[in-house]
Amino acid sequence: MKKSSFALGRLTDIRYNLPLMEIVEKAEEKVLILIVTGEIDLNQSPTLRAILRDKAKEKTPHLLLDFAQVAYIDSSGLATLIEYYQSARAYSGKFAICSLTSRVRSSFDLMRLSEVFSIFPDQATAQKSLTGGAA
Amino acid sequence: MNSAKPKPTPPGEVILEVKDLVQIYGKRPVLNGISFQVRKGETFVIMGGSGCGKTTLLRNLIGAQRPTSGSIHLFGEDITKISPQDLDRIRLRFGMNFQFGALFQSMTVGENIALPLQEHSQVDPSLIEMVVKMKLELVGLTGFENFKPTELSGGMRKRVGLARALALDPELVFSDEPTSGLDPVMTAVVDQLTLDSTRKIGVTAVVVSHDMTSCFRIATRLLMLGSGPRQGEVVAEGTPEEMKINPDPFLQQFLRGEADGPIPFRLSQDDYLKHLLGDG
Ligand SMILES: Nc1ncnc2c1ncn2[C@@H]1O[C@H](COP(=O)(O)OP(=O)(O)OP(=O)(O)O)[C@@H](O)[C@H]1O
Ligand SMILES: [Mg+2]
Repeated sequence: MKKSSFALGRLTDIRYNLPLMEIVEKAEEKVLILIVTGEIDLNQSPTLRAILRDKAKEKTPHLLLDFAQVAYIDSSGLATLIEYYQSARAYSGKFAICSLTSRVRSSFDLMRLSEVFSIFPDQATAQKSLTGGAA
Repeated sequence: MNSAKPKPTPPGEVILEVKDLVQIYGKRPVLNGISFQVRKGETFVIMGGSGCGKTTLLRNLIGAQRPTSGSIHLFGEDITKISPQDLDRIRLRFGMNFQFGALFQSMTVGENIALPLQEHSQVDPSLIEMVVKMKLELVGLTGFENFKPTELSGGMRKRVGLARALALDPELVFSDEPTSGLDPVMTAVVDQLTLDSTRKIGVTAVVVSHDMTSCFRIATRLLMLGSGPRQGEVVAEGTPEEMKINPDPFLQQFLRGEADGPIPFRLSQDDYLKHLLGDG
């Protein structure tokens, strides 16, 4: 796994290759997007956690998780998101999640977390909201 | 990471297949040639009179005891034949909610629920704590993590058992009378949890119950085990609609909860007298 070296306007995306989950990091002008593919379960959530903890350490101002390709998330994955939510709040970082599949949305609903996170239908809407409308 | 996670079973695929299952206790066949299949995403309800063999069947399905004969394919593997190590691997894919809770009395509620995560995952303790809170919220027991099982009511213990069965977010959950001893509201809460996790997330549930309201609320299919003269056999199997119109008198007596009918719970007057006189 490559070490993240996030910088604004970076030319190439960083690709974390994992057996059943892939995370592509895309730096837009103001928002850092993590495009997650696969299943976030007990085996994979520690890896997602390691990446999110790096982002928290770097005090990433605007982080967006794109879940369009996430087929499943379990409770450990949700707990991982809550942990990042908490650290981002501590440094006033903005955090959103977009493009949830209906199954993943159901997991958020079941654990009553849909109201806790800022959830958006797509990347564009999420970015607009994260950067205060000036997309 | 070397997570050898097995390929998830596609929707509609048979994940549990029981064939000609026989369990003999002493000389008495409690299960006598039971066969059925459960597909991914289903809520398969097993019902039948007290003592007919429901818990015995569940114990076989989870590999807690071996049948006298017959096969049980769970996630494609015959668990009546595999090694204990292979069974342990399969165990990580299902959760079991025992009829009487089976909680560790010396541990708190929170420790009971955390245990499977501590034993079988690399999840950080601070996250495990959060997962425990989520599971307790699911079963309406937020705030009880530091209680000991002995400090809870029977219905509360029952729900802790369910929370523990769900600790690893298993794809398959076995539940032995999850709503017995619960009030109507808590019964509805537990039923809704079954409905949401099966219909929306794709979890499969195998539930033993004789709460008819609950059975028909959650089941995609039901199976009734016989007792008395029909001990050990499948009386009926089908969707809720099929069961309602199935004319089998055993089934109909059970569904209606009537004392009079073919299901024997008492001796005949003659047999009773013989029994009292000790010559029966
Ligand atoms: N280990 C055992 N050894 C011998 N007989 C047993 C054993 N376990 C259960 N039985 C007998 O098998 C029968 C079925 O028991 P089981 O616990 O499976 O019933 P059940 O359908 O779960 O009943 P209930 O609805 O009351 O929980 C009973 O007659 C019981 O006496
Ligand atoms: Mg029983």
